[in-house]
Amino acid sequence: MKHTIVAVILPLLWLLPLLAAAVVQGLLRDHRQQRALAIATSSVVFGLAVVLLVVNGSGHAFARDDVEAGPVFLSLHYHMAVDGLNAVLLPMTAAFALASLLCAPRSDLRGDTTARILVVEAALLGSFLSMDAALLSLFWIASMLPLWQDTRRSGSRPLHVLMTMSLVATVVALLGAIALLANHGISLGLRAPLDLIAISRADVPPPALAGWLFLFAGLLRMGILPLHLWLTAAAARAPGYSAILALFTPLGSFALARVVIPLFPHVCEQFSSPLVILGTATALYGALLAVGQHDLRRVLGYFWVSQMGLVLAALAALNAPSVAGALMQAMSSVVEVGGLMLIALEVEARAGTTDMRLLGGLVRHAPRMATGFFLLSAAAVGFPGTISFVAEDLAIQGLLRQHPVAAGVLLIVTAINGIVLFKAGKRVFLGPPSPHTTALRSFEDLHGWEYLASVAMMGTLLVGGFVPEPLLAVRSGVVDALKRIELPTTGEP
Amino acid sequence: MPDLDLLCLFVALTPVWPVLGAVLIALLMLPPARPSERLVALVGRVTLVASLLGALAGVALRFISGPVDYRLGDWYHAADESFPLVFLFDGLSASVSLLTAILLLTTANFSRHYLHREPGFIRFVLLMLVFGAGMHLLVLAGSVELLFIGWEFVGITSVLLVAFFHERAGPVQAAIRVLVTYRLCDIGLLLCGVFLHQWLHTTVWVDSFRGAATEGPSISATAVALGLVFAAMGKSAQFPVGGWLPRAMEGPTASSAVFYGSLSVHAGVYLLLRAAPLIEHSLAARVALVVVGAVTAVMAALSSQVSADAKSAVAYATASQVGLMFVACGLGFYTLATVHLIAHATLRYYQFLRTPSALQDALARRAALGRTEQDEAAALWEGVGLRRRRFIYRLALERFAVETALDRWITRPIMGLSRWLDGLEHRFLALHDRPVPARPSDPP
Repeated sequence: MKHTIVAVILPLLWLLPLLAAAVVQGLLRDHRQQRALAIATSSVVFGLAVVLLVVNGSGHAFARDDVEAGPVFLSLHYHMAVDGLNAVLLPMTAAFALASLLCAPRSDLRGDTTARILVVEAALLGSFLSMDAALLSLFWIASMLPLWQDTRRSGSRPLHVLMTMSLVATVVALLGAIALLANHGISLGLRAPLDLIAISRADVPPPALAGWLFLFAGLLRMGILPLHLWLTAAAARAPGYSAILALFTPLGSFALARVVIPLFPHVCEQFSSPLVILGTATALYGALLAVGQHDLRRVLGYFWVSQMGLVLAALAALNAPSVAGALMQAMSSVVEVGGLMLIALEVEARAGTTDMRLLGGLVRHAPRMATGFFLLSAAAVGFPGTISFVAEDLAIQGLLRQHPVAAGVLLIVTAINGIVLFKAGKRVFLGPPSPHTTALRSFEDLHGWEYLASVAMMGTLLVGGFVPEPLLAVRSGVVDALKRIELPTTGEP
Repeated sequence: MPDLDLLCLFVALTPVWPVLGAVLIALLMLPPARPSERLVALVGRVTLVASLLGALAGVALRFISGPVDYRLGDWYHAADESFPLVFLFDGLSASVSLLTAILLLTTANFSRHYLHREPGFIRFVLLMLVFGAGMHLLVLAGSVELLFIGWEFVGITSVLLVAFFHERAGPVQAAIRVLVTYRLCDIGLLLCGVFLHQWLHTTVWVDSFRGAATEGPSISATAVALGLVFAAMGKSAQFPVGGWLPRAMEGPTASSAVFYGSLSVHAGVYLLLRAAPLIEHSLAARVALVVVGAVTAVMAALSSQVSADAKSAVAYATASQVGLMFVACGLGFYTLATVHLIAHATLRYYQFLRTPSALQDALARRAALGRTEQDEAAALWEGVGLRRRRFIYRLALERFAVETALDRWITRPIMGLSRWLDGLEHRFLALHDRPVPARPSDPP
């Protein structure tokens, strides 16, 4: 029964948004109908993702056989599974797509924006579900295309150049990795040479270069120093609501946990310490840059880079608590930074700017928005009682075992990030209104769905923070499987 | 002994009641219609009374069974690591917890009238309840982690109450200063946890005291103790990070009284008393305590005398007395420091509540006695030469240029580095930029 439910739901998760995007783009002309269809589809997908989480959201796909495998065609293998690693990410991605659609001003959803949001949702869900390297890469690249297209029309040439470079680098790295893995699989006589489970069970480990290429693509996607420029530029300048979903996903850290750590343990073992240092440097760099910014979206962009640095450092430490903390932090960051970015976009939609020198005193007009911003900020910097507190606690505990200096630096980074976000909130929402603007008198507070989305995000963070055990239990299978990497077998370069 | 367990559980619940009150008020605020002041005040008082009963039970427990190391279980555990819920009920925690409960209940009653029909009344009660929960948790915590949670709750509510009158620039700027100091000094507490974990593999107070006694003085002991001293300096407004305290007076009088007169400002001293068995093993930390405390005592006392407003004068006087408590802790006079803490917290609480009528009080005193405290203080300086007096006056008026030095040597270099790195990125991005060619129809 469970198997049947999973088999039915899995393809629906990524197919439904794609079909809806096609209908929105090709058949419907009325904007209200387009929006209604997109919201209905995202709601259904969210419900299905929650069902999957409840039914099958534990364990680790590499340790199980009840995964959904299909036919092999030209080495491309339709193989998808749901386990502890992706079970929480699925409803989260669907919820975020839904929140983007509900919170975006209707005028912003005209044109192709609705279809783009649906395509990115489908691509991300497909990436998270894929158990085949080629399929994963296909969805991964597809998830970047709508944002790349948007940047073409954004009017910012540097942003478009950076996005193009980022897209090209991702495509080259993933294609290279696939070619190497395919060659390896064919030489071993595997029926599905790119199937991740088949590769993990083979007697001969895959070539290390493929692992390096996947690692590069993952770091690029996470926005790790010095590959972060596309992320900060897009966070600051990309058209808002369609970009937010493409930007704020833990796809990079997911790829490291799904592909790099289990399949290439020797790569991880060799470069664990450099990656911890790189993650720590990124966290510090992001925090330092965020301190001096004047634009709210740029502040959030650098803060996001800083958070990703923390995730990388914890993930690279390769012990059970740090990996559990990293996976949890990657997930909670989506809600926190995504929620903060949604508020920034709402400020932009109402005030016409996110330049903090032109804002101020908005709490008079928008107390709910201000409360939401400060609560999400507190959650984002790991305030006790939120998911991030648990995640950071575990990450630091894990890092302490072998990298106490990195743990100490990350604690300082957390303190700086707290100052950054509160200072930004103060400049936007508190104090007297800016003398440079008179356009804020008609500024409106969160209403309707915006308010509900904000409350839902805060509720998720608080409930998950006070009662973190169920969330940790979902990931425990994955962490147990990754624990084997702590002392990897040597012998293969 | 099951009855003792029940009593322990009841004491451990002391911080929970204010949290429940705060959650209830937050839920009441979700619908568009605001709850009435009367209802909010009632929720606040009921939960604070429950908290007071818990604190009284803590005192009873102290007399019945002496110090208790109470382990409630784990908050969460994952992958070989866990977060233990450990409480330490002893004479120190029982007395400070009772003081906290009494002062909070008094503040709730005082603010009912003082902040009546103030737009932020509900916000004030909510933040005060969160603060109460944090303070009780800080006091009763049996481990560094649990204490840190309370410490953070106290810090964030403090910042938000300083910015209570957020429509003005002054309170908001002051709140930022408080936040920056708190966050930076919190690093000391976090690093203390890190060092303790590395050194003794535990952060539970009782276990670490035992471990430290076995290990004796070492570099690790010094690192732990200096982390604790740094954290305490921030929370208790000591030299050189005490500039936030007079600025924090921007908040409502009731919060100034309970935070900066009595409880929050003494949290640092409480931390030193709590962790005294760890600090004792480090001579460097003890010397630092004496030096920092003595310097603060002198500088804050002088600054207090030249302050032009009543609340700032009392704030500096508070920092000065807390400095003496630091000296007492450094010299190992822990009982003296504890008695000083409780007596001083109570006195300052009353003084802060009276500051709105300070002028009236001074006039009444002058009418009755023919002189005021300021006249007496001025008389003391008569014996000092005029040039020296002017020099000291100028120094005190400039607050000994401590903040100017901190801005110049710490804040500006950090901001400079941030802007330099940002400039580098901008220049790199500008390489890909090219001006859009103007169309013939565009205006010049």
